[in-house]
Amino acid sequence: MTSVMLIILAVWFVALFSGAPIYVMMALAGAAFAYVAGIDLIVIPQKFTKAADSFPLLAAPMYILMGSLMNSSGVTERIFRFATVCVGWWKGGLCHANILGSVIFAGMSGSAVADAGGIGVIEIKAMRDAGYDGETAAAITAASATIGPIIPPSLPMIIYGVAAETSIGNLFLGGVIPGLLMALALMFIVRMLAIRKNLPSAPVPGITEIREALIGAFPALMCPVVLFGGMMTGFFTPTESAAVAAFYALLVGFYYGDIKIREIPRIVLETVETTGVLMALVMSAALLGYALSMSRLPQEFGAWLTGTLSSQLAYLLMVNVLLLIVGCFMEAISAMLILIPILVPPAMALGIDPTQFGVVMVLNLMIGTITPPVGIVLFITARVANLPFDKVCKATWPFLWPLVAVLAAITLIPSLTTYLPALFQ
Amino acid sequence: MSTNCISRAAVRVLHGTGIVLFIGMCLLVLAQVVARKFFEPLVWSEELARYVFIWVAFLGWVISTRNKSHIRISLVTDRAGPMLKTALGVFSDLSVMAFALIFAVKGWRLVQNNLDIETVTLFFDFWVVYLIIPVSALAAIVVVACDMIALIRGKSSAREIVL
Repeated sequence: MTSVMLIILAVWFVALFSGAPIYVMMALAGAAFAYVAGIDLIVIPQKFTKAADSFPLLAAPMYILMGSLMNSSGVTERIFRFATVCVGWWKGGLCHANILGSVIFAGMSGSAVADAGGIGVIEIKAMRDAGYDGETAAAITAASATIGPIIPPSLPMIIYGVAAETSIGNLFLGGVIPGLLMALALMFIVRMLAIRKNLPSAPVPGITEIREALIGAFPALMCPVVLFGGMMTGFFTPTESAAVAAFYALLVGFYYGDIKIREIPRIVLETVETTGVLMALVMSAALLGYALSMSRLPQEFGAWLTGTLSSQLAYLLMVNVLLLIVGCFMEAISAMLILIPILVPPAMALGIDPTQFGVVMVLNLMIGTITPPVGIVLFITARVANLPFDKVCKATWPFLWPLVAVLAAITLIPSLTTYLPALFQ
Repeated sequence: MSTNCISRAAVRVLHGTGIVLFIGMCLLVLAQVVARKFFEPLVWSEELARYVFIWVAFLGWVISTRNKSHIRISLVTDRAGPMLKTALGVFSDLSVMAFALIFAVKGWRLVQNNLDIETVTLFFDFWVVYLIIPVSALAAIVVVACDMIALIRGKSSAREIVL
């Protein structure tokens, strides 16, 4: 059966490039295997519904809704103003503000795309108005957007947690230190660039300005406090926190007066559509994962791998190289769902911490969102900045290294990802 | 009533159901928190929220199939000439249709197999949960067939959603 699966996967890989939806190719590959193996095809709708019948997964659409509500509520502008007041007066200040803004926004949003297409729009415009070149603005926005899914809440981590049967709470906590490290590493590069390119800085803000910015951004700053406070004290579960967060975002929108009641159906409909896109992938990945495990391909691959690579570090390095290449060509969540059944079992067999492996995988694929030729976040920032894609790619290059450095750090030092989850156990 | 009118009404029903169910799902989870902290815990809310989510997922699948917003690898299609592009588009539609057909037939069997299987805490039987499978599959077949006609006539357009 392993050889049958290999043939199916080879056909499937070629068919992926036909431009047909990735989910349908995954589902048909799973169906083809079931047909050849003589399994009743009723397994297809069964696996699909079983994958969706998950309470933890419910958090995903509600966090998507929260991101849309936050982006429609004008809270992003206030976050950026607050960040500018905090660090704008440094050399290359708006680059630093861009990074800090992304860190704050990351505490309320779980996707790099929401960051780039939400607060990114404001950041790029403000940086251009202040005399920065468009390429730098788009590049730093793209690079800092990758922090969004690393600092919790995080859409890819929910999907990873469900697909790899790992604690989502631990993954969330495990992402905090790497996320902050990413911000620091990016700020370090910005500092060097600012001196070399003599980037401008904003005037030092007065007390009233600081106070106004703080009051404006206060509801946004409180969002992670409400979420984590609620989860840590056991007031609600991670899934419930998503519903509370969406409700909180709605209240914030009403408070600022930026969300009108009649806009809500449109926002919800967009979320339903995005949920459909996400769930089609999750459900068909469950079917393909089932077919893979029936074919015993992952088991045989895992046995071969653990025979060849005996150390955790060698395996992690191999996974990193593989994911960095895959990330260049494939959208992050699809890539993750396809690779989890293949990469996770050997990692567990080698005794790698599940949280560390999850965060490494997610961070790695997030770097993939800012690498050509398929870099979704780059596409968005290039479109927002109205610049050619290749120019933004080139400008993003220097900001890639600090992110890769953080990836190397969390690969080499497990405690960076495992310390916080152990602390709150 | 013209076909245009019918299709517009169908889309409205689809969108309306999606919106109502999604808001309902959020409210259910919120109600669960409130009830547990301040009143009696709800025993049925989690199960119901999960089933509503299944419905939302499948309705979202139809909506995104209609808007052609599913994630795809467009490295080749972006660089293809008009003929190849149409051919690949038809191939894509045919694969979705093949999948939806299996889904409709086997989904209907799943419904029949669950006619008298009871849910744990709710008042309805399991077939209600599964009913969305054949329904959404049939809707997807109609949607994709319409797209294929538009594609051959050269009037189809796609927009991609990013996660």
